[in-house]
Order: sequence, then structure tokens, then C-alpha cells
Amino acid sequence: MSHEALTMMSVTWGLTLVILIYCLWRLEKR
Amino acid sequence: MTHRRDNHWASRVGIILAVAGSAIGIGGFLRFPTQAMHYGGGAFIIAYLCVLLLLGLPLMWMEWSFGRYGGIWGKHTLPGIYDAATRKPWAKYLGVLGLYIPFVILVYYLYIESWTLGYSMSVATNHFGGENTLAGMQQSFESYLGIGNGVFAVSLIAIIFLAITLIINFVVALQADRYALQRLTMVAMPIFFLLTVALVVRVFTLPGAEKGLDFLWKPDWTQLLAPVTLFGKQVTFLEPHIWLAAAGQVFFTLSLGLGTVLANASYLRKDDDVALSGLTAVSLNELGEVVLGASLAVPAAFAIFGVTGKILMATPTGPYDLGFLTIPLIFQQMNFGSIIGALWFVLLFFAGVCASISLLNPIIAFFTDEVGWSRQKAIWMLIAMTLLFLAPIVLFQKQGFLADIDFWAVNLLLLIGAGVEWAVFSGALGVRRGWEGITNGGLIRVPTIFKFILQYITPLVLLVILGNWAWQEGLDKLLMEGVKPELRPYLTGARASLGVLLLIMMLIIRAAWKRKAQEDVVEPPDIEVLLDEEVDHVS
Repeated sequence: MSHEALTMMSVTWGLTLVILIYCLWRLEKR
Repeated sequence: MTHRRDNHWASRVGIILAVAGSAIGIGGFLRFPTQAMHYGGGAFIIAYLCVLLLLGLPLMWMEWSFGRYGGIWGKHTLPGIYDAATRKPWAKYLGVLGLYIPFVILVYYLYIESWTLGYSMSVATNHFGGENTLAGMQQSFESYLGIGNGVFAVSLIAIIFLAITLIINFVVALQADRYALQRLTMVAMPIFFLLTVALVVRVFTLPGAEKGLDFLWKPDWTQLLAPVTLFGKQVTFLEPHIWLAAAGQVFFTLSLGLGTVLANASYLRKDDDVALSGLTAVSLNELGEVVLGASLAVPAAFAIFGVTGKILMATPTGPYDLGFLTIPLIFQQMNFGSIIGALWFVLLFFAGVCASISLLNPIIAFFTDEVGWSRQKAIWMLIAMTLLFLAPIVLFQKQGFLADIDFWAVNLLLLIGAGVEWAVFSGALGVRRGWEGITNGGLIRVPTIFKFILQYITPLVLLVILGNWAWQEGLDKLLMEGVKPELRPYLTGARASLGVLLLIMMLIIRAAWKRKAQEDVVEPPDIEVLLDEEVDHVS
């Protein structure tokens, strides 16, 4: 897998997961 | 009071799960990879992510907020909400999109849903044992659908699974207890998620899968642009097909533009959060699509069939086919693959049922709230209409009936529907109240930049994507340029059926308002009064 593809995939996945976990944590905290 | 609060909470989680059901499911695992495969892999994903940020997220917040306003006005369907928001006699006819688009998508979606159930049986019985070519899997798929030399696609097995799917959907719809499905979803979706993660891990360890990931995540940036002739001059502008397909996929996945989010959000209370709920719905969908959906069918195709990106892009398939051609073969590479595969396809079917029920709900709500029918009468009417419009989709699949309707519904109608929603929202509420609607009661603070994006960038991007496609390709598509002459009558039929359906829906709206006028139904007070009451309440 190329470096470019790995970077783009990691950034997209990372952002998605961080935002989702934050949202679920905030919903749970409520 | 506690019970009422629980119901509202269940309603909110229900919306998020229903919205997620259409992504962590058929949208994410079947439609998304097929679209990505046809529109250049990485280039498609770049366009998809841009559209998600500039259109998807702001419009999701707008729909939640607009739906909640609708509930304050006592309206739970798009014609009613538009009518109450604008107080203009023509606005209810614009609201037809909130019945028409969900129904059009529902009809063929039910058929695709039935394929997942059928494939659970095929995987359980190891029907694809030893198969490892794309052509072979395509043949199996066509054989399941009954596509042969004749004019009609008739297959007993496909019809049986379709009948089971219809029965399950309409029986669930008949149950007025909407929370029963939510409770089941809360159990089924986590199992589905865990199985899918296991499947992704297996795909990633297949030799050759990394080439598929390269295809998806290393974009050929030049594909995003294309030469355009504008007023006699050659300029470089957005490539119309990729951007339209990406926008359609984002809207399809997030259930935007068809009024279902509005209809569901109309059951929220006026001080309920929409900011966090909207963002949660979007991020859950993206987990299902760009994380999990992108990691199955396409990399598996590279690993199992040994194809290249060019071959894959040129392979003619229907808009949902790639997952059916590749995913069954992943299970062959796993221990207990038949059992895991059958369960996975059953859970995919279940996710599909959640999505199709969320398509059915606003139409049923319209028939009961505005037309005055009983829930049972509304559902029987829907069954009759579904069978009528489903028949040609099933029979003329070989001639491209389903693909053509999917194109117009997802790529065009959803975008137009969202544009109309934006126009009514901005026009009726104004920017200040519209933004207040999004931020009031918010459990998170929405960055103010999104106010600017929703006000200016979102409509502009939507207009550019639609206008660019219409300018460059619209007429050719409408006139079926490049379509074989023998297929043209079928596609004309598909489009005529879409037109007839639109007319029927508009006549139903007209009849509903006529009935209300005759019965002298008391209309809710003026929108300004209601909005002021809401602001007072919040402050």
C-alpha cells in the first residue's frame, strides 16, 4: 500500500472515529 | 413525564439508528463500493468527502432543526411542514417530494433488500464453492435474478425472497409500536458491527487487498476535473459525473433531501438537542461507509479476482452489485464462513428493513395525519402501490429499469429535494431563526463557520454540481444518448412511471387539503406567533 494512500486512509478513518467517539461520549454523558 | 422523556430519548436514538441503518447496511456495503468502483476510486472519495463537509453535515443539521420546527407547528410530513412554514397554497405541492422520493426509493430498495436475504441462503448452502472469477460471480448473480435470454427477468427464488421481504416490512409497519424495532436494532446492530470488523480484518490479510486500498485511497486528482465548453471557450471545471454521483451517494447515505429526517425529527421536543444528534448520525454513517464500506467489496475484488482498477471501472454492473459479487467469496476464506456469512447477510437484511421502515414512516404519517385514513388503510394502499410499481422493476431488470430509476432518484431527486428544503427553510425562517433552530438546546456548540457555509456555500455547491451536470450531460442523459435503441422503450417506461407516480402523489395532496378545507379543520396559528413562543420558551 502506498504511503499516500495510507496517509489519506488514516486521516479519514482517524477523524471519523474521533468525532464518533466524542459524539457517543457526549450523548452518554447527558 | 419520565415515560414521555424516555419516549423522546428513544425517538432520538431511533432516528440516529434508522439513519445509520441505511449506511451501516445496504448504502455502505453495496451502493458505496459500486459507485466508488465506477467513478475512479480515490477521485470519487475526494469528491465524496468534500460534499460531505460542505453539503452533508450542514444539511443534516438543517433537516433536524426544520423537522423539530415542524413538530412545534403540529406537522409531521413535508407537505404539512412546508404549508405551515410558508402559508402559501403552492408550498404543499413542493412537499410532495417528501412522499414521492421516499416511495420511489423504497420500491426498488425492497427488492435489493430481498437479495441480501436470498444471498444469506446462498452463502449458508455454500452455493459459490470454488468460484473465484468476476465473470462467474456475475453469472451466479444474474442466475439468482433470473436474467437470461428472454425479455423478462423471472426467478422463482428471487420472487420468494422478495415476497418474504415485503411481508416482513409491511407487518413491521403495521405494528404501531415503533420502539419494538428500535429495541431489536440496539441488539442486532452491535453484532453486525462486530462481524463486519472481523470481515474487514480478513479482507486486509488477503494478498492483493492492498492494491484495492490504493485504488480507493490514492486519488488520481486529474479525474476530478474535466474540460468544459463555456460560452464558446474551453475551460477546466468539475467533472460532472463524479461530483454528481458523490453528492447522490452522500445524500442517499445520510437520508438527506427526501424528508425522512424531517419527519422523524418532528417528534422531538422544542428544547431537544439537534446539533449533537445530527453530528452523531453523520459520523455513524461515515463509520459504515468510508471506514467499513470501503474496506470490503473493493479490496476483496482486487484480492480475489486479481483485477486492476481499470478493469473494475469498466466492468458493467448495476448500482448495487459489487458487494454481491465479492463479499460471499470473503466468507470462503474464513473458518465457519458459511455460518458467519449467512448471519452477516441476515443482519444486512435487518439493517435494510430498518432503512425501508424509515422510508415508509413519513408516507404512512401523511396518509393518517393529512388524508385522514386509518394506519391499516394507509398500509394497504402502500402495499398496492408498491406491487404496482415494483413489478416492472423486477421484470425489466436486464433492460436497466432499476439502474435508471436509481440514477434519477438518488442523483437528481435527492439533490433537488435538499435544494427545495434549503430554500423553504431559509425563506420561511430566515437565517437568524434557522441558525437558532440548529443551536438551541445543543449539547455541543456548532462552529459559527457552519452558519456561513449553510447560508452561502451549501446552496452554491449544490447549484454548481447540479447545474454543471445538467449543462454538460443532462440533455444527453434525458435523450438516452449512447443507449442501445432496443433498450430505449424500457427506459422511457421507467421515466413515464416516475412521472405518473408524481402526478398521483400530487393529486393525493390536493385531495387531502380539499378534505381538510371541507371539514373546516382549524389551522395552527401563524408561524410568527409559534416561533416567538418557542424563542420565549427557550430563553
